[in-house]
Amino acid sequence: MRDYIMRRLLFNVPVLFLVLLMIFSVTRLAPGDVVDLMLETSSINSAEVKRQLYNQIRKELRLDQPIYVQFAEYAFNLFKGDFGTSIWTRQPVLKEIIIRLPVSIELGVLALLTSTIMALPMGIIAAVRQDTWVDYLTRVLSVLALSVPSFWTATLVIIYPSIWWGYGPPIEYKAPWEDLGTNLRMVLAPAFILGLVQMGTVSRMTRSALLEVIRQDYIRTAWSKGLRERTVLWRHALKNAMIPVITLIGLQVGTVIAGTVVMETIFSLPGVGKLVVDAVTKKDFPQLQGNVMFISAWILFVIVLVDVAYAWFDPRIRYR
Amino acid sequence: MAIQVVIEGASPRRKRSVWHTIISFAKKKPLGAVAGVLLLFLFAVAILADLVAPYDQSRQFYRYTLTPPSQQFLLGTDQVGRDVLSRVMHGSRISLYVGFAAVGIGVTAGTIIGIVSGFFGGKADIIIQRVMDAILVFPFLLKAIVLVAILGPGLNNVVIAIAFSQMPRANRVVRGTVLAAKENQYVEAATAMGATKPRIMFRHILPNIFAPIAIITSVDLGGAIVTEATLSFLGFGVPPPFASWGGMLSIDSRPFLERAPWLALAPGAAISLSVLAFNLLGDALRDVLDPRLRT
Repeated sequence: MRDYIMRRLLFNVPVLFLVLLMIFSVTRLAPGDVVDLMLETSSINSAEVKRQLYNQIRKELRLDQPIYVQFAEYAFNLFKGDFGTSIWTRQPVLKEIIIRLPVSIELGVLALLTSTIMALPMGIIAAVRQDTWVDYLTRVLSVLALSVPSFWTATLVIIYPSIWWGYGPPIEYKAPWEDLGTNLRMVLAPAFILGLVQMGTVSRMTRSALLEVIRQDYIRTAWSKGLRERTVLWRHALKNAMIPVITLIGLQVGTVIAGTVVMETIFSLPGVGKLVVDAVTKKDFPQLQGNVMFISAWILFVIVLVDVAYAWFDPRIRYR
Repeated sequence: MAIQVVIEGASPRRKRSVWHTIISFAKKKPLGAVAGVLLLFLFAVAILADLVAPYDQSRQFYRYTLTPPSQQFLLGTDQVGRDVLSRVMHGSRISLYVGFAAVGIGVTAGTIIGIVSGFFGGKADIIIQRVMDAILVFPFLLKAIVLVAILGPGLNNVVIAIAFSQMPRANRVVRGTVLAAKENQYVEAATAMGATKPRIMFRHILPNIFAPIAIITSVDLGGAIVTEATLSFLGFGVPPPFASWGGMLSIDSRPFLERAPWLALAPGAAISLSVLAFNLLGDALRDVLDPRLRT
């Protein structure tokens, strides 16, 4: 197992290198010059001063170097743990990500909790009462949850309470340890909406996995022994049915950081997803590159963890 | 000379008509049939929007800005006096065009890559799949946002961005199916008869892996529509003057949505119903074409 984990982690290195190559190339292909964009927003009117500043900034940011030199320097710095410096804020990219990480993690974890609490009972009931109205209702609700765009739900959640009760979510983000009440008022609604979308996938997987387990011979044996439905379900079926569900939830942990981009934008939460959107809008390619590499490395790491956990839960699986 | 075997008493197998297939499908999967009817209605509205929409999508009635639903404007008007119903109808064209074009390109590219990678195997397979993993690892929506920002605004750039993001998923599904399919005896027979590798891949294997391709196509159509709407909502999608469902709900429209909440209902409902129909149809197709994948 240790060899398998090491092999998987090493296997991710070429994948990360390819991700780096892709994001580095495409950001350089973007139309428009980021230094021009910065100078446009400045209050400098003199063309001569602007030209001198343009050359100076490009030299500072190493943009005057050939592209392969820029790539080699960036890759080497990344290897040392230096994700670069944001062109706009002049702060280390990693620092900007770490400041915003707790917001995305809080939102993502609450969304996962919400989705799991709703999805598991729905999936179990749908499987146990297969082909009844309960099953059809839960399946339609699951598909509906997947179909309704989260940004629409979020927009309605903001508009209608404002009209009916004059209520609006707080504008300025407060960490839970600063002001728990304000923090919860800001994150609970977006977390619930995100959870609804994830609930659709998890409940369908739970139903499918449980149905497959229920059809197994050992479950038929349990029934024929005269065991109650509750015993058959909880003691025999659910444990094995939960294996693919847990791995699915585990994979959602991986995407939790980036999946929050829409909610963070609508509810003005300063998370990692919004950082990516801001970096794209401002053509801050060091920030964008750093965000992409960080998120990709995180997701690849979570995938390895999920594969290992899968082997731990299911003793039939052995990785060599 | 071909040898013909005749079994006495056997009746010739009757070829089922398309109509008979549709009726049989509707009986087995009523939800899927309802979804199909809903989609036909959507296609009809998209195709005939110029004829059935009450007004032109860009026409502005300056005296009727932010008007609530009325007899003259069934779904009201927006902040510059445009009829919401007309814009929703024309918006269906954008959504369907982006959906079908993006999925068509993405699934086709992913299928070709998956077939080639799965059939040849070895080092080619390893390299191709690592490239696909590198594309797949980054979250779907963020990938589309970055690509659109780099390619620039435009309907076709949105299509390319979404297609590129969907391609690795199609590749993964097709490759997995090809790995199993290439061990079948018909492939061995075709090889023995001297068929070239491209002929084996695309003439023999491809028709036999149609079911998973059809399933991911129908599911991805719904995903493409939501992605396009989300991109437009965030300001990275289809630029004006195109009427896009997501664009009608964009963040820039928020101040007007609070004054005229009816503006938020129709576009969102249109997106939800379209995606719901594609998802239900995809589920029904999955149950019929490959019962092992039933959810």
